[in-house]
Amino acid sequence: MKRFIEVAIIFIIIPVFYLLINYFINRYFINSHVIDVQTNVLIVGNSHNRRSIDTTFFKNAKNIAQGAEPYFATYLKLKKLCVNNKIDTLILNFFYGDISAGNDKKFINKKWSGEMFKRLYAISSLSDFNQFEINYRNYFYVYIKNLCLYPKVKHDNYIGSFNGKKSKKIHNDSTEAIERHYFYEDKNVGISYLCINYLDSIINLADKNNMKLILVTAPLHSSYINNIPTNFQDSFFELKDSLINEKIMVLDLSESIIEDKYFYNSDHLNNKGAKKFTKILIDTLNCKLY
Amino acid sequence: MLFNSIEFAIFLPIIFILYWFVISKNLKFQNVLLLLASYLFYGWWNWWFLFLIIFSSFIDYLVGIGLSKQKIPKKRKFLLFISIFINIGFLGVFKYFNFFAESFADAFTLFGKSIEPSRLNIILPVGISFYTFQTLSYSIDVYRKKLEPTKDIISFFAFVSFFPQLVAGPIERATNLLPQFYKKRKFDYEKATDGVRQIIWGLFKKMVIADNCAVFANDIFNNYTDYSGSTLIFGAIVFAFQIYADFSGYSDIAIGTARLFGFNLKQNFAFPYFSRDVAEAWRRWHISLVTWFRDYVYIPLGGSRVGIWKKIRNIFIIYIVCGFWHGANWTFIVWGALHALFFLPLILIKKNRINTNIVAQGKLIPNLKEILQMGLTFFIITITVIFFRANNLTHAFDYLANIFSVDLFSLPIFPKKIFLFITFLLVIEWFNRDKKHGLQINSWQIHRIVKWCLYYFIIFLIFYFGGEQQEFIYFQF
Repeated sequence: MKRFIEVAIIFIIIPVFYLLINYFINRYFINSHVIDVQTNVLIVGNSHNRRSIDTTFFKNAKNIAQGAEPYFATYLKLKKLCVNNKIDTLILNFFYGDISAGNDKKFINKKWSGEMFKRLYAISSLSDFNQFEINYRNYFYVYIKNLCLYPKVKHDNYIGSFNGKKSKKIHNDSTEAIERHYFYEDKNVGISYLCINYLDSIINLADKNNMKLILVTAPLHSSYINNIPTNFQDSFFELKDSLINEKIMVLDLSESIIEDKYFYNSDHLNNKGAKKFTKILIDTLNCKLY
Repeated sequence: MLFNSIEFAIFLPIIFILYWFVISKNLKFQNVLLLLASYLFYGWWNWWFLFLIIFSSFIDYLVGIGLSKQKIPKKRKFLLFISIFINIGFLGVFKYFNFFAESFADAFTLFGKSIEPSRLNIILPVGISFYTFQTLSYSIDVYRKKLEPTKDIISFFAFVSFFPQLVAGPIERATNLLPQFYKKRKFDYEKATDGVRQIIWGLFKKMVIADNCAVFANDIFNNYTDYSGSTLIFGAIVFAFQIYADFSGYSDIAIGTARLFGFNLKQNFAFPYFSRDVAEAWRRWHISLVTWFRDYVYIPLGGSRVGIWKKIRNIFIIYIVCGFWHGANWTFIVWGALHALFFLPLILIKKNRINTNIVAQGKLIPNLKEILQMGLTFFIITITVIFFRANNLTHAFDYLANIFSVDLFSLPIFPKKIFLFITFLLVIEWFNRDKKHGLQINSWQIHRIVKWCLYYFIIFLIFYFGGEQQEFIYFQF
């Protein structure tokens, strides 16, 4: 028995030591690596901005949005990027689903939590998730996998990019999309005050760093808009009015494109739609800003 | 509690330390600890299920004592009937009631009448098919006077609920496992270290092979109309490896864990994908279940020592029952029947026991004949697992029909990473095909450092490539 314990301890100590060394090396890389976004117009948010603003047509802009990104994650990203970057304009998506309490479940949900932690491990600590229910297994799994297994120089999983989708025909998935965005286990998830608070934190952060914040609602297909639960519509418009009263620029362009041929699915544009929408957005900004 | 969960990673060392350090001198206390640990392990899913297992254990305990006192054959038979009725009754209610109700209603529609079947809105208790068979084996063996009934209630309850193999086997016989609870267990260094090796190998099979295969196979099976025939073949192959890695991985972890506590469980998988015919594959696949059906169903029916028609009947019965044990769905019945069809010619021409040794024994690589035999056997398994995986018969037949479509010879989607893992699995298991598990490398003449590097490499693979945590497939059975 004594021999077994001794061998077991040695067997465990070796990898623990190895993991610890990697942890410190990776921490060093995270702290010393500066992300230079090389732009003065930054596009952030979730897949709505990611798939609708094509930066090949938007001079000086960089799209770092990622699919399903809640405001909490956007806030952490911006907090990190503001340290070393001078950003003039920040384009953030503002959409009905952004205030859904479904976003709060992304850190406990089996499918999404791993992906969220994978993006955020380098710019967050466990205490950042205090207000959320989280999937600890996935959290520690991602943490160890990314920080302890081997040294890696780049830890920038939180930086996304424009991701246009080709499609000739719309995949009409409005029922599934509505279900995914506003319902959880067949129940209306309600409004997330955490999301609204983090939107507020982003506004404050932008203000503190002299960034012009522009909230954009990208085009949505009529089959989607018509089926958004009323509590979300009411809260969205109420929030929109209050933001406008606070002098925040809100561009509701949800109905700026309506033809099916520009949609990939019920809530995302395809490549052609993104090209068209980017031009609409630039024109609108030129009109409003200058 | 899942073997591949953080909870189990905490639970196991605590129980291990208590077992060997705190109460190692008292056998009774050790058994009580194992019983409590098993109930905690099982109750982690749902405490209510514990009442079922306690009730089942209690009935068989009383039946055992009753059988020991009763000498009149009719009354003994009645006692056995009580045990079978209650245990199979539980299975029938929890697992098969809805299936029979729906099938009955479907049968009515054939005659132009439709009836609405009444369904039970109940959850299938985890592992019920496993512990029911385990406890039944006790009553039957006591009835047959192959086993002395126990009066030690703690040992008996611990035997029924022994946590390493409680929810997905191996289905242990009372004749093998129960006596191990009576004897003082001594810590055996070799046994414990090999147990740890087996656990590591089981985790690799489950978390790296099965969980990664699951993502690919689920996508292919759920969207089979979107894929070419060649990709559907890959989907079936990947699922064949998923189910093997999932279930044999569980068995490896179970057997390895039991060895840490000084117990010997029976080998449940003996590298079935290195089989040269279907009969050999069945001797190597889910051994504990197959031998259970052989001893308690097939042989009492007359086995193969009867006339030809009865022999055919017995084979179909055993395979169909075996299929049905896996789940209350026609797909499992067809899966079993197909295996019976493939097995039948072998037994009729008396060639079902020609491959009882290990393939290419003493050789590094098999000869061409053996390769072709293994390939053909694996092909049969792959075709039949389509029924095993399909949601219903229509799904299975559509999947098969889509395989044999015009794009059968088009370039398939080839999951490179998964096939790399599978190759690694096959290479390691090939070199250990004469052993009890894939990582039994203690006899390899290599330096300890090299062995440790291999272990660390496997642990690294588990951490780095461990797919999304999935439940073990066999939990649903």
